[in-house]
Amino acid sequence: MKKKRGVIAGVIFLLVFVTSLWALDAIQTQPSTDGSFELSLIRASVRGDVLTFQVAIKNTSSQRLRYTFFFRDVYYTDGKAKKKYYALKDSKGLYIAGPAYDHNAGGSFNMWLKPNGKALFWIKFPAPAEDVEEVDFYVPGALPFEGIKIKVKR
Amino acid sequence: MVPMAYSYTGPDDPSAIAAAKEAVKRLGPSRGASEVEGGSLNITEKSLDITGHREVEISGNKGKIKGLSVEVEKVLTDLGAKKVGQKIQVSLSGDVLFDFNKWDIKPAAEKTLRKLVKAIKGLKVKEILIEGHTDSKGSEAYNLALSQRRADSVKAWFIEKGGLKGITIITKGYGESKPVAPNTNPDGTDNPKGRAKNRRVEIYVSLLGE
Repeated sequence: MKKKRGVIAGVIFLLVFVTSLWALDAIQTQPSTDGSFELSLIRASVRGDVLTFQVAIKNTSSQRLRYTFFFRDVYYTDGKAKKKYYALKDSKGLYIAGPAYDHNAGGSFNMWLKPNGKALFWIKFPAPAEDVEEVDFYVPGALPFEGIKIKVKR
Repeated sequence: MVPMAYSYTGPDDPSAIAAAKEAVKRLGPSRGASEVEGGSLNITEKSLDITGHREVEISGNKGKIKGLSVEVEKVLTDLGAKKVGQKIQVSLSGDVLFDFNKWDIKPAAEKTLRKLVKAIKGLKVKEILIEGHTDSKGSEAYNLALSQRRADSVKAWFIEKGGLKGITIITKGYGESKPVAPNTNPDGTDNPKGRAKNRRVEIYVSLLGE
């Protein structure tokens, strides 16, 4: 009986752990402006002079969804100094971001998602000044991530 | 499977890290930062652009664009142009521009394109975005490719025949993903009129100083 209870408890724990992984990993989650998907910021880290954001998208609608945007339309702001930063471009003029669907306008993200489908994208930016502790991050189609505390590994 | 352009394998790809380091160096001390206007994110315009365009008529008091000559305003009005956020939007019927399943510009469409180019030349243009859209007949992958080819054809026409040089022109195919009308009726039957509206090319002209 004890063994059975232990097994059941273990299975429940595992289920809760796995299903909550999504929520645990998210620094912040924001809905799309039309309610069809949500974005979860899962990484906001500075290494040297580069800030990397990584975002997970989840289709929360009951329809197949296409999410697409140009990397050039993504930016973050440092509210304190009132500065706005755009994504970094490499020597070929392509944004250092991915996965890139095409190279139009320096690169774009494009993904079809079935209901509850998920995908990830990431983008590199110049890091803000050293004394900046939090930023707002904007991705087209969703409400902005606000007051993001950035983890520094300088 | 959606085709992917070459991309870095991920944020920890050593070549991405190296490229980012070099990119920051190139930007210099300012790191490419610009001033935030008003100190806050302009959410409203962006959200309206994505969820549904807030359209404003070109002529009349609302949506008046500074410095627009009477001639240019008349041509844009004739073409049914609208001001959407910081851009002028013109929507052209796919059936006017192209034959069925084709992406070459029809000779009969050139008059309309010439009118549009003439108006664009009268503006201070920062950039033009050309979007291709289809109806839902056929596979998604086919429609995506067709819409991209059509957007590219319009761009090529603008440059080679329209003489629009020195302006950044970007193209994007959306396939059937952004319909403006139902492709089918509520009972599931075909809606040819709706599909015709969905077959279109949308042109967004971003202006300098707007």
